[in-house]
Amino acid sequence: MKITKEQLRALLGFVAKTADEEISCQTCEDQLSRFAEAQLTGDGVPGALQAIQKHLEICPECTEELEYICEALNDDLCD
Amino acid sequence: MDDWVDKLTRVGPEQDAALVELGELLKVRVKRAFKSRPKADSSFVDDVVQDSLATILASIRQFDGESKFTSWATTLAVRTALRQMRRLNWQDTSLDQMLSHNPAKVESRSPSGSDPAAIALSKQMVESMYRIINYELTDKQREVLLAHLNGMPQAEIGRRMNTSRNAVYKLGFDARKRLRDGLIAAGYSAEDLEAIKAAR
Ligand SMILES: [Zn+2]
Repeated sequence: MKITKEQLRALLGFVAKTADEEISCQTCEDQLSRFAEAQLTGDGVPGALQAIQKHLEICPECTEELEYICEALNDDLCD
Repeated sequence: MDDWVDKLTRVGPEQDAALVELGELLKVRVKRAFKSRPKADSSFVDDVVQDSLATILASIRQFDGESKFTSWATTLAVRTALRQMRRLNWQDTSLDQMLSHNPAKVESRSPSGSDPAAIALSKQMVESMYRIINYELTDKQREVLLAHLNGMPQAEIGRRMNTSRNAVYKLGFDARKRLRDGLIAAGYSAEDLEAIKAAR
């Protein structure tokens, strides 16, 4: 198994952001539609969703999902 | 609550009409979100929307009204699409193909002097990381970590390890914690880690 330097650096970034307590993807997913709406309306992230923000920093999968959700909702919430 | 919930939970022509309307909306949205993915053709989108409508009906009681109903439904449809897309993209890759049983090896030589990020990621730190990955993680934690680094999604790792996506997340989380604690034990401070993060 070879690990490239780029992978190692990415891993270090995640390691540096690792907290003792994190929410799971499941918990994040339950709040993603609300989070996406807050992002698209430019309201900013409400305090209750700060844990989601933190999770997104260490989870490329939920981040990817959020990007697709925002793209999908783009007709509705930008106006 | 929401008009949609009302219509979708009332069996009869009103529900049928609401399902058609919601299906059309989801089709447009899923199509737009995945327009850059060649595999997302119209039959893919149709299948995703059919599956999503079934999921939405089955879990409609979980809708908590914190977002618009259509945002919640769209989120479920996007999630369904992403899962199917990821499954398609990874169907021909086994875990064994990705991970050999040999210890992890550093691929590149010592960092060059001109790249600030490379300086931050010093030879000693790289060695510490390999030592922790090879000797301090459990086999399962190492497998999950390496599969992650190669971009394999958690659900796909779980499918291959016969475990849930949540369990895969937990293994990855424990691996990151072990790496963090191991690096701190090796003399790196939280600030060092932050600096490396910043140098990326
Ligand atoms: Zn996640």
